[in-house]
Amino acid sequence: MIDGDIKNTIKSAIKGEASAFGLLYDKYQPQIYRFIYLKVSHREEAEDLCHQVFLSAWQNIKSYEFKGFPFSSWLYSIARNKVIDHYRTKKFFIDIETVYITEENDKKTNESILDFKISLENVKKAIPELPQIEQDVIIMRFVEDMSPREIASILNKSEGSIRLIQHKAIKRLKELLNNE
Amino acid sequence: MNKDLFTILKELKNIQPDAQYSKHSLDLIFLSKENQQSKFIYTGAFNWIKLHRLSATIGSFGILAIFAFIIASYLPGNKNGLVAEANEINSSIQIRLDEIQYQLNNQLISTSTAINAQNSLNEATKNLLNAFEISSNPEKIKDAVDNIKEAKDIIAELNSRLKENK
Repeated sequence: MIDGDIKNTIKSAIKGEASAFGLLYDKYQPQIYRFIYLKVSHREEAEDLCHQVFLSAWQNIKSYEFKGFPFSSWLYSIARNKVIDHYRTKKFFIDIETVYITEENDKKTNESILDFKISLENVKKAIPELPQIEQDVIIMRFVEDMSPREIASILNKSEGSIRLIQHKAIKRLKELLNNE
Repeated sequence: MNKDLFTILKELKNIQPDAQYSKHSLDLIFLSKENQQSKFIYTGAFNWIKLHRLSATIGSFGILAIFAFIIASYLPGNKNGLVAEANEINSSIQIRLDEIQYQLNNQLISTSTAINAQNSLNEATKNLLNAFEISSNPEKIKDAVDNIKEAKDIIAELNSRLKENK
């Protein structure tokens, strides 16, 4: 969908057209799911929270107003709030996938230490250990390839502070990976 | 290292939601607006996801129980007839579980149905786990078979209820 199409689709969804919302869901659900999954590190919880985000979006789409920011910024805001609420009510959870990864990692001690440390799974595990705002910036900037301007609009911060957070986040992520 | 880290971060973009989950989630979202019962639908979605995984887990427990039975049959005083019976019942359980998975994939279920189904599957799991635990003792094979029969009855009843719910 190009920009004009998206605006028309959003307008139709606001009018209550399910098919239009379905198109928005198809376009944005994978990235919102990814955003949540990387923050909670648990597939079922990510599915549950992602469902809540789009349920909330559909129920409140009439209140959506175009303010020059992409539609995804509205969805990211809902997702961030859902994740924060999730952590307020549930502090600790051991993910079976994480346990599996840990066991797998133990088996890899003879392999190249550097390769091991920088592995995909280790990065996945390290991201949720960053402060929330740094997680958001890392995921949006480097996983979703969003511009600092776009991220600034979603997180309601200046582009300058996004660049500063990005710098700190990368530094902290490297430290986490080196300490494993 | 920077390059590696950024390459890995980009690779995380390959994380995708399960297609079946995505479709069902959207169906439930639309249903929620039609019914204006968001809480009801939200719980339904939550249970739907759990139910799928629970029924898959039961399948695994059934296989584990049979595996334990086969080991037990090599112990002194084995009772091969009971082992064969347990195996047959387990096959029946697997068929019913496949049917239950099909029902869950092809209908929208209410919260109460989901909770009841979840309770039934939990009960069946307990029976199969118990069968697995005691089946290594040849003296308790009969009790283990009774546990498997109980699980089979629970699952068959759940399957009938889901069919009626259509």
